[in-house]
Amino acid sequence: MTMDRSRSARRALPALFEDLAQARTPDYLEAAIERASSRPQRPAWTFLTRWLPMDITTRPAWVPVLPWRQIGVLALLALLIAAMLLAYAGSRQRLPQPFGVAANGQVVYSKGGDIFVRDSLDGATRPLIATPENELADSLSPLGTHLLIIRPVPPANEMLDFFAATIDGRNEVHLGGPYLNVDGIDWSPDQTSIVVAHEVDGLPSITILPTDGSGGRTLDLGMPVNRPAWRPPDGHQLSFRGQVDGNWALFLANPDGSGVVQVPVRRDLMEAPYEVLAPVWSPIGDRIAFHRLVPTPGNGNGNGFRINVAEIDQAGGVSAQRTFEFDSTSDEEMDVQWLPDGKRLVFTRHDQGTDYVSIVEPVAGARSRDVDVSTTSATGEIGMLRTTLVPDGRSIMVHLWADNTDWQVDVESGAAHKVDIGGDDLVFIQRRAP
Amino acid sequence: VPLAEAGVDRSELVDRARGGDRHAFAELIRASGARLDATARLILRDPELAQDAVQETLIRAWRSLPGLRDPATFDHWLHSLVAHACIDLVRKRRRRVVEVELTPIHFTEALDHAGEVADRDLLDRALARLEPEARAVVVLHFYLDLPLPRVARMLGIPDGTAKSRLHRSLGVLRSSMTIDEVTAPGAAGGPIS
Repeated sequence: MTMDRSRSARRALPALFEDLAQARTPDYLEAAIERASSRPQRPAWTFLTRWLPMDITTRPAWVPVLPWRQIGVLALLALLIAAMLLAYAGSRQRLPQPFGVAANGQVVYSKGGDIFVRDSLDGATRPLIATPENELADSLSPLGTHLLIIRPVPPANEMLDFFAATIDGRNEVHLGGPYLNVDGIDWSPDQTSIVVAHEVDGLPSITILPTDGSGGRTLDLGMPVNRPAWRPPDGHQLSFRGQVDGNWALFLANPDGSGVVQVPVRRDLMEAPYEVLAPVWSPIGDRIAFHRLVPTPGNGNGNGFRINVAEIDQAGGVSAQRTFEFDSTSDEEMDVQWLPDGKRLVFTRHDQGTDYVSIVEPVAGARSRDVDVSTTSATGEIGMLRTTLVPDGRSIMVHLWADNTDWQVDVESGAAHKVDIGGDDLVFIQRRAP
Repeated sequence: VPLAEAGVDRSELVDRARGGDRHAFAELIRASGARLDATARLILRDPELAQDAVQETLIRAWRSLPGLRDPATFDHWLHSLVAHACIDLVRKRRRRVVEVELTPIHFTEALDHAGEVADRDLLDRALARLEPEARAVVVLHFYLDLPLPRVARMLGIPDGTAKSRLHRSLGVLRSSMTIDEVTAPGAAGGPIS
């Protein structure tokens, strides 16, 4: 297959815009600068985020010693609360395992700067978190009890602030931020921490945020890093992409940043930036899948993204690996995820301007099967759909960016049916104990 | 002597401007002024409104500069301010029920290749059919060459909304340009949301 014409049209647009804009210094600029800078600047001390370290805002206030009578009342209250907590704990639902197949729970999605919830895909919608601020649901925790909320900081919205709340939208805690250029977020399996990749003084870095809001800790890994992920099933290691001598490679480390080892995945690479892209662990943490740019004589383009699966031992060694080409004519095969059963992969297959969702078992000679939903971009834009997993593993959710529609796809048959969600981002389904 | 010529680098200029140095601020803006004005004209499609948007951008930039954490992000920060100023202006005018006049962008007389002129003209008319919010996504992505996730963050919308707006806008642009290619010039209709 050859590159479609729409890609060349897309390349022509920037030049057309340059011609159309005819950028020139406007006559009014000097006067405008004068008018603007003749006003007082907002004092620096009024920008709290610039000056206030987070630990100051979270430091507990000093509580003076109380009289004995009040202490007695407090002790009684504490006993009462403890009894209520015990009763609550006794009535709590069992939690699922953090990975693998689970039961389906509530459906959470974002729309118009607020977060909404339903009891099922076709259930009634109710607001979950709706404040005057702009908030997005980023993900649900592996045990299904919490929600990660992101709030872009106005006016530039370039920095993101991180919050967590319980799945009922209550008990919101500020975790950390605001952070610049966020490039990867992952919940730890026990959901006591979230790992976030972001820029610190221009260096791509990784910060661990405890979900109790006790403050983040940026790891000193000695290189630019991104795309962190906790290694299942227990999160005893972190994987991440790290850049050494201009090349990105895959690394493992302990959660405190010690014991960094490079994972020797195959490196017959085409171009340095296109190495080890979007790595994802299998549900039990024995294999990692990612895509990378490799020579692809079958598609007429000379190269393309293909999916690599590597078996990783506990020391970070690679015991086996294979680069798959599920359809040699595909322009790209990319953005892979493991289905909850850990046996099959779901990925995006891009061919001649169309994104397909494809499912396959990664074994030698396997050919993938496209499901019944796809999207075609007028300009050859890649990644115009995104898949989220459904905990029971029987279906997947596909969100099409072109019209913000959501589709539930049966994993076995590939049949897709449209779900009336109307959100403007991905749909997340809570994991529950089976 | 301009500070840049005196060996003062850009991040130092930003630092000085953050500290209230008007000359440093002026120099930073002189370097970005042409692109700010062009961005505003592309989004608003009205030179006078664009002038208002740039003026508002400069006021916001000057006032808020002490809060800018990272000098390296100054240009992106300025671009997001101009995009917001444009969208705010349009919203204010909508509230006053005043039509935004879609005046064509006038090209210089010394036009080059006839085919390129035709393409520009088609793009110009096709852009007029987009809502300003959609034009902002297209202009930030294609004119300022910003990746879509950054455009989304700048405009305070989810990545998906940015992708969706871009996709729909490009569909409108493509169909408008195709239609205009086979119909008489000047047949541009109203904005398409």
